[in-house]
Amino acid sequence: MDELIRIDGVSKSFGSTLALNEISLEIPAGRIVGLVGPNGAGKTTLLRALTGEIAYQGRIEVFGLEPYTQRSELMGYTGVIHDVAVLPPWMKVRQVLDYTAGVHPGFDRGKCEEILSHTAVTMGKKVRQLSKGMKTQLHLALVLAAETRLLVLDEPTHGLDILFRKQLYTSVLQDYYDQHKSVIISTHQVEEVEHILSDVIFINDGRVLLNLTMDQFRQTFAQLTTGEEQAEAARGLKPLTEHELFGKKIFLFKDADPQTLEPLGEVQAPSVADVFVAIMGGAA
Amino acid sequence: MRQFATLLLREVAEWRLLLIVVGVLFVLGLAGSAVGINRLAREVMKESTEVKVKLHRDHDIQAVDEEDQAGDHDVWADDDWEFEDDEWFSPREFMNFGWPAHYFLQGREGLLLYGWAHMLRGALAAINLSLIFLALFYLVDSLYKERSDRSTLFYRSLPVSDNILLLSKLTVGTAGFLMLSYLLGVVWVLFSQLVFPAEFSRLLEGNGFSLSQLALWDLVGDWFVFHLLQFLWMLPYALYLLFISAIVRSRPLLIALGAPFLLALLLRYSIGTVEPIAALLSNFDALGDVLMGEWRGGPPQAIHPGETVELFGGFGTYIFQLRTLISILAATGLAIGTRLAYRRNFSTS
Repeated sequence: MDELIRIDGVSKSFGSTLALNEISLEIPAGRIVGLVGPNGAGKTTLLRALTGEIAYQGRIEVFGLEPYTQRSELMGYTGVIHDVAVLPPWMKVRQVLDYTAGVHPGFDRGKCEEILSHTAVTMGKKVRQLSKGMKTQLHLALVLAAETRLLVLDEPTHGLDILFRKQLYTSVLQDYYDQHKSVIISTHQVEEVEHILSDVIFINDGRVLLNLTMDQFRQTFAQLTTGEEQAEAARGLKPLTEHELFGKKIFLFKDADPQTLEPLGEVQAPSVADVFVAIMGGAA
Repeated sequence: MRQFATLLLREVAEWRLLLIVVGVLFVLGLAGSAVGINRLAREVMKESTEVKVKLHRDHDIQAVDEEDQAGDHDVWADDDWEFEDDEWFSPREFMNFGWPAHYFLQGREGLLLYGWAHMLRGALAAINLSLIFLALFYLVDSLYKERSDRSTLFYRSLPVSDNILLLSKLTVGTAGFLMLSYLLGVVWVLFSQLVFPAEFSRLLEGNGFSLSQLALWDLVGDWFVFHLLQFLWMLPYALYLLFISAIVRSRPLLIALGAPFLLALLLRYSIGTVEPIAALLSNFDALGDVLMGEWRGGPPQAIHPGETVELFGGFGTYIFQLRTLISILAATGLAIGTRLAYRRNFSTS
């Protein structure tokens, strides 16, 4: 398997706070990875380490490059959108494109203008005059128009309304992703990205709690919906969680045999959000 | 190279307001100079004979026949000579600049020529110092500004090395402002030639003097050498300001200017003297020596027809000094510190 990212024993502290704690991961190329965790879990710190913005202990390789010392080379292959507005507010949209075209050899200005032509972002406006959603659209257009192989999105939909959020993920799928390109999306609104992910990583307190492909995820977790009469038998199979909805008992199982569960009620693949809540609840 | 040019253009675009202000002030300065020179010329032509008579009568110095005076250019005023209120804008006071009058009064036309030289030099100094003052604001704010609006994250997300990013800011903050100072100075010299009234020139030339004695093209060359040296001597200061801009959480200008004073106060009240900091700073004062020493050009000498008036001394001697080497070493240390601080991307408050 063609490895894109290799993280080996990476830790990062801010004063006495341990943001990343001995994290080890391998992410192959051509995947859409969801990095899921609550606020303060270490998602942004991990992504900033991956993109060479912060120093760390341990070893990281992205495209065989060490991000902190080879950041500028790495950025030739990588597009990044942060969780906050970072485009220079004093620039006009045209100047942002001029600047990016001047420093990024792989930037396709025509493609960027074409993407922007489907939005309300106009060339003569200053960045500070754009709404948050328009700033994100502009930034997305910039990274989609650059010839990169990895797209890092750190809470890209933070503060956006549902229309913008849907547009953003559609753009990522339609205009960027293919089998040679990879996307890492950090979010705590997991239900929004679940349908596009190929892999999911749960992170909390600077540790990786779960790292599975979506196929593995569906094989690993199962959700059983049953009545009161089968509840006791289900409890005997040691579910991760149990809750009640509209008079039905809902159990979440990890590594349970489907043939054992099926006689007890309706078995479904749980959502990533359900498993996230169950695991985070357990972790808490 | 294309990246570097783009970064320079970005800096120019971001700080264009500063450039517009400089441009407007310069144009106003030129306009003011043109008006002043023309008033001066009119006054000179009006007083073309009365001045010498009046001087002679008021101060009881040796009467000099006006016809002879034009020929041999003897000194014909003394140190006690003072201006009267109604002569405030007369060419004599305008050109005196505090030196004893007899230095200038080797002849009316020589006085005019020397005064003109001082006016040129003074204007060049004003242009240069104004731009250095503006460079201070640029340097101390440039990294802080992009940290505070978080655009540094955008710049770092593109394939540009930190070294080139920092070099672009240092280049604009030093060479950029100095180049502007040089160009504006040259424009000023050329402009002054254009607005120098023809009658004024004829007055000089009719008495054996010439505007070409000012060696204006030498001035343009000296002016260039001065800027090259100034670049060298500016580096420690520029990198100190960039370093402050890279690390402080707020108020970079206050901290950059206040830190040395605070250090001096601490020394004053802890060991009773500020000598250590004064000794340290004396290694970086070549620029001040040039500005305050060479620029004034020393006491004016008698001017004779056909002699060249040197507007500046030699700047080259200043480069072969230990403190120049110390400046370069300090600049190197500060460059490394700034690079490390920029890499850390300290947050702002």
